[in-house]
Amino acid sequence: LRKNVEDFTGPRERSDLGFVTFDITADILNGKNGLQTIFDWNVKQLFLYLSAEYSTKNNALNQVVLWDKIMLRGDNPRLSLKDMKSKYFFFDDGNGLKGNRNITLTLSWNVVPNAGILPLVTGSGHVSVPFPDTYETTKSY
Amino acid sequence: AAVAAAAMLSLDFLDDVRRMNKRQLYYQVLNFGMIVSSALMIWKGLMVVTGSESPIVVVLSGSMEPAFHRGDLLFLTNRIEDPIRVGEIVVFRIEGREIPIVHRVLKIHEKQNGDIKFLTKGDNNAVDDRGLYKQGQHWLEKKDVVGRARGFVPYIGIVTILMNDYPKFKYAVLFLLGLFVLVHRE
Repeated sequence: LRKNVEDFTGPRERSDLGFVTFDITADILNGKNGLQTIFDWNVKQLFLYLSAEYSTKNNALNQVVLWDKIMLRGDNPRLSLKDMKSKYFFFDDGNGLKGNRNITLTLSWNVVPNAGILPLVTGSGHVSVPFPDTYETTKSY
Repeated sequence: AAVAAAAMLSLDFLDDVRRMNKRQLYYQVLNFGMIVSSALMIWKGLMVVTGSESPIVVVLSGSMEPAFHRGDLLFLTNRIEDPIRVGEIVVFRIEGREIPIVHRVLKIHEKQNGDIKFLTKGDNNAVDDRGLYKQGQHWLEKKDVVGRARGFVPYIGIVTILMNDYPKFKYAVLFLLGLFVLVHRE
């Protein structure tokens, strides 16, 4: 599982807004079955999401979903995405993104069965990203 | 011949009811009461075990398709020890509104002391739920949560939706159930 990112912060009203561009290369497997494909007879779909987790002065824990995708049974469980922009605005509750050195990006998924338990699985491999100390005012997104 | 036989059977059935003396009738009523009490106890027991005031809910809208459709049944837990995290499917109520909503957590901001505020969005909706919240409300809090969806069964909840949309259907179902239990000899 590999993610590469490029990012910068931009001021927006009074809350920091972060911009992240990323690549995702991943194989979604069912670890319990010795790395067989996740799509067994009882898996209807996967809800994949890339989330950013970080800590700020205001809040001990923040989690923001940057991007999500629904993968249906029959789709290829291999992801190879490049230069993706975040689907949702990465607003902080305050100004905690500027100079924040430790934003952790993780890929997770919700397994939706045909019937039964709804587990949330976190992918192995995550990336830590720092935001710069200054606001970017010139770059367009 | 088949119609005649059916007519004979239903007459026998009514005769049986008339033949039951008072004691048997009281017995049947008590039986009925026990079944209702047991059902209520099981429901209350579920509420205790799951920590949710509504441990089983029916999906009412298509905002979480293709994962859940109208009529699917969701099993919830609401244990305080389980922290709310992004990606989870929560069932919540907006202050002042009766109908619970089933959507996914998109963002959380949690303070050191555990106070948390979070934002939700339906998988099948283009935008997040801010437009659904109360006027001036930007976040949901723990108190708005009815429970977290842990498991589900498709289709079964359609009966509840039918009973809600067609009250005559509900009365018919209840009447038939009551009749069956009262008359069933055991």
